Amino acid sequence: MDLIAGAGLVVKLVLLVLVYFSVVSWTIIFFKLRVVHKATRDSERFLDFFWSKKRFDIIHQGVGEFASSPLTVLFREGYQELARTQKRQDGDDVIPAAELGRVENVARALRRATTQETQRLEKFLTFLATTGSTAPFIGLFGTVWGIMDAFRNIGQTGSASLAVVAPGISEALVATAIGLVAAIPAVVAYNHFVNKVNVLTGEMDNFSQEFLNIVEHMGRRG
Amino acid sequence: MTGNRYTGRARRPAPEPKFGRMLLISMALHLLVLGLFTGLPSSIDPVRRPVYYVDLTRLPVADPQAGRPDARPKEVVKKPTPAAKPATVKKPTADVRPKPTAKPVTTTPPKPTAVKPGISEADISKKLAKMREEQERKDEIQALKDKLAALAATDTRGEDAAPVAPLGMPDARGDEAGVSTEVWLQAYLKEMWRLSRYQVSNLDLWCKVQIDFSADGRLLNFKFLRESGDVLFDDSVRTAVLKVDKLERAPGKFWQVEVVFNLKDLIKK
Repeated sequence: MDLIAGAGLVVKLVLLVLVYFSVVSWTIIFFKLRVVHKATRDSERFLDFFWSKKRFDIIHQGVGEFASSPLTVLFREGYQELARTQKRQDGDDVIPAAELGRVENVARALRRATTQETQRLEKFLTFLATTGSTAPFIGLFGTVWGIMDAFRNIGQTGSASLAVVAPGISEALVATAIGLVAAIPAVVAYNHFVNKVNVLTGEMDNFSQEFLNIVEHMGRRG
Repeated sequence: MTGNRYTGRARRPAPEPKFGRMLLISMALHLLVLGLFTGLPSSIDPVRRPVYYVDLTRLPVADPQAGRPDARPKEVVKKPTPAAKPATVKKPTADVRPKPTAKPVTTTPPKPTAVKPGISEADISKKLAKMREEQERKDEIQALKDKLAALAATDTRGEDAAPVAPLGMPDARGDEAGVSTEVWLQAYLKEMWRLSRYQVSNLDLWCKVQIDFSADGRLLNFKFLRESGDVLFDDSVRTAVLKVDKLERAPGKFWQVEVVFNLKDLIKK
């Protein structure tokens, strides 16, 4: 604390920025931990539920229990699209080419939902990446400035003893230390969450393919 | 329910935890870390003793008088000692007082020849007055001494108290101007202790060392009762203790003492 109190104005400002980065980073880390944890847990439960039922309408009634899973959003979008195209086909005469169109519509709806869910899962991760890459440099800037200040003071006092040089450098190095303290958890968390999001995106792709297969089988059976 | 801007249909998003709550948790975490690095450890620091900066030219004594160990050298209480020395005269005053009255009454017949020329009633009354005066003076000095002892015992720790107080120990009742061996040892250790605040990461370091001395004041052994956790800090303490080769005053018997090394006290030096 004494080191921070003894630092210059620029170094203090740098420290303030770094503290802001650190606070927001940790907020995002906690937030994402919950989001990803709930999404993973609910996805597993939803897949068990999905394969245990035979009818889409029954599944649709029960998806509310797995609200945090991105797969439920996909299912809901796909199911609604399917229901809409079926309604249209029931009204018109059956056109032979309509079957292909129905699958395409559902596939587009699923792709759109996948994109949206991926965006939702990746939200705020850019801030972690920014913190991880810039915080050490911001800290380094504070340190360089602090050392410049220290050397100017040394020049003014005319003494280069350890007692004169050490305090200034020590105060300046605090900025780099705090920069690293802010950056390291951000980088670790970013890599962790990107990996988790990739896994969830893979699950969404797989689920989309399975859903389309089922829709196609349903169409062939009439 | 939020709208899907591509289809125009309502889309039910997955529920998310509150961002504000996470922000609060994050801030609390940062404050906790800040507290751990700054305020908290010092507030739970269990050892808080008054710190005296003793001039090492003042030697330790066996029976220190009431006063402050950091008093100025000029105050080496020589004045009170002459006043205290008449303590040898004190006895006569206490015993003689009845004697003069007794002498004229009981031993008048045999002694008049020897004492007659000097002892008149006027002389006796003069002597009595002198004795009374002396007694009053002693009482006054004693009262002042008590007052000083009380002042010293209140542990003012301020710089202003040192010049007026006599050299001694706050809780001592002896009559020698000087400090106790323990306080001298602490001051000596502090003098020998070499550690820069920039060598350690934390200013709240402290450790407790038990030191054994032989009857003739030689360092026998020492051990850490509590280590600081910082290697550099503990090494510097070890070096300081080893520099106490022999005490300035032999304790006369095996002496075991516990000394606390507090980095903040060292920095204040």
